[in-house]
Amino acid sequence: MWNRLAIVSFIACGMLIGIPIGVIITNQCALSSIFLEVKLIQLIQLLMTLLIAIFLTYFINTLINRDLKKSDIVCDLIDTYQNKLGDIFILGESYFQNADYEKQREIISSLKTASILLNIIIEIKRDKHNKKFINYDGLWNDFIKFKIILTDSPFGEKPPKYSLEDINNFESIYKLISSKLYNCKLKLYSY
Amino acid sequence: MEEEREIVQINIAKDFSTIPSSRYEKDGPFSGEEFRIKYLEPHFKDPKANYFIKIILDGVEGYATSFLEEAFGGLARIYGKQRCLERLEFISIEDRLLVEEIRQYIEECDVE
Repeated sequence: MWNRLAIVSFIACGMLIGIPIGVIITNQCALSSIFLEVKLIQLIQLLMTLLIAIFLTYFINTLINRDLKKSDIVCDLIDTYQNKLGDIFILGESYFQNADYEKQREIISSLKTASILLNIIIEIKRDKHNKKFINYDGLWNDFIKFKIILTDSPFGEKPPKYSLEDINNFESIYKLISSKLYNCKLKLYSY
Repeated sequence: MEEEREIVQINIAKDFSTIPSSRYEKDGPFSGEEFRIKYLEPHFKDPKANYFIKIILDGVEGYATSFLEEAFGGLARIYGKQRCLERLEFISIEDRLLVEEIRQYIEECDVE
């Protein structure tokens, strides 16, 4: 931020010094005297206009950048959460086909990680400065449905017997969550 | 003046297991059923007991729905949702959504 401020100050100072020098030089040599009959007040007005324009541009630019950076951070978090759910989905499909204890533990620990990530995303929603509306409560409900389908009974049974309906429901909820997460990301960058 | 209620603490990772498993004891050790019978039900057998039971959920690998539903939903089916919600206090710093999840299992358990 200070670098930008230094650049803006440098340009302003340059103009403050450069314009009078330019006026003096041209007054003495090239241009006609009528053209150079500039009143001091006009010069000050011009300088003020330029300064206001520069500072407004800087201010708006900073605001937009800050907003974009916030959106980038939330988007990265949603990406990480989405990837984690993708991993769990693959693990779940594999567990349905061939259940073993290792996969069972991996699913449980991955779901914990996903829940922690979702909690961080929900906490950002509670930030009063977050003006973009995203239905995070819906995301939580969908996550719980996803977890219930995968880890409620017959999960952990020896052997677990999943019906075709369970497997279809698991796929459906995963697709639904994925599409909602894409929508969330799109909303982050819409105005 | 309101009477101060006693608090009993159960730390699942330290007192029970860091790898809680699934629903029933027949499916292996550290099940929700085992946890409910050994650690929760003894505090509910006396109908006059009204002390708080603080349950520390952190420090484990994670919880399957079947474990949580059998432990806490199962307890609510036996002793009532209201009594469970009044006396159980869940603590998790690692996974804050877990507390809401468990409360949901208690509130939505099918009382026979």
